[in-house]
Amino acid sequence: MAEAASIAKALDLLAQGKGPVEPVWTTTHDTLANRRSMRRSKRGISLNVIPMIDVTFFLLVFFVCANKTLDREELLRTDLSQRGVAMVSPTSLALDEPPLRIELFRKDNQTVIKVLAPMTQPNSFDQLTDIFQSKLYSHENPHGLFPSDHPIELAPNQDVPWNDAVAAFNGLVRAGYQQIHFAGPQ
Amino acid sequence: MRSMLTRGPAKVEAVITPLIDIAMLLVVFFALVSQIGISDFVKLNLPKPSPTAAVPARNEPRIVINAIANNDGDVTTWRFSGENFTANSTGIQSLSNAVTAAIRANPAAEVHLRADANVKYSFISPVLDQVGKAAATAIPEHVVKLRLAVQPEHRGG
Repeated sequence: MAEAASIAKALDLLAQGKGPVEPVWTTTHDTLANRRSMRRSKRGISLNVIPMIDVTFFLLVFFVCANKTLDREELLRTDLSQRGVAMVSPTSLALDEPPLRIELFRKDNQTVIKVLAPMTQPNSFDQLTDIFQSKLYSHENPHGLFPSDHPIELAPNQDVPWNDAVAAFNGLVRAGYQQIHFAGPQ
Repeated sequence: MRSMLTRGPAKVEAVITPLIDIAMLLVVFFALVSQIGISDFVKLNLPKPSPTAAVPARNEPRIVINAIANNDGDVTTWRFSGENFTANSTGIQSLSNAVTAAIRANPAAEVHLRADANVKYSFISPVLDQVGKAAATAIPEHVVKLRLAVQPEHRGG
């Protein structure tokens, strides 16, 4: 009944010259399905990349931070030639200066510093820095005994913790000496 | 001019595909770099001299030797380039051979020594000795740039 009415309406419109009209043979249900499928084809397949970018950038920030954390330690610089040989290679005319030897050993669970030279013996690593700084020859300190490139041999005893050996080395570097090396195995 | 006017306002679109490509490449790069870092940098309680004369590590080629110790300060294992060496004369000799090969491959590399603060010097000394000899074997008259790893002062722990 409804279809007959719609056909009559379409014929009226055509007679008035107001076409084109929707095909009259399609049902209402068919028309809706067609419209839906057309809309779908216009939309196409879309990929939502925003969460992917978010995750990517999170990963990027994480790895950059992790990388920075790993590199955060610091370094004390020294040169290591064959052990027991001073760092400076003297010219044939220069005298081969014997290194100044500093021994570290353990006594009453503490590390003791012993400088094998006639000078005040330091009681701590800070004192070691102060004493050696006062002995450093420079324009400001012409009464100093040792130039900055004077070889110094650091000889920690077997049971001295690495922390104290490094502290002594650090103290001498702070005092301004450049040729410090560790003594060979005793 | 007319064509521009008839075309209407230009559409502005962000092309994000190259951005994602670059971001992904960076992720892969940092993932790989951090993997290398993890094999080189064992978590250790490094010495912490204060005030320190140490300088921050630079991006120079490096050979990292790690001393892994127990609570008594005895080194149990030496780790170098992701490989473990036992802390006996055979292990140290193998370590020396590996370091020789590494120095020969990269003579400009710095040797970073990372050891726990409580490690006894008796364990460090033979390795320093062997590294010096390894360098001399790799390249005669070669002076190794030895770097002692320490904790920065500002870091806790």
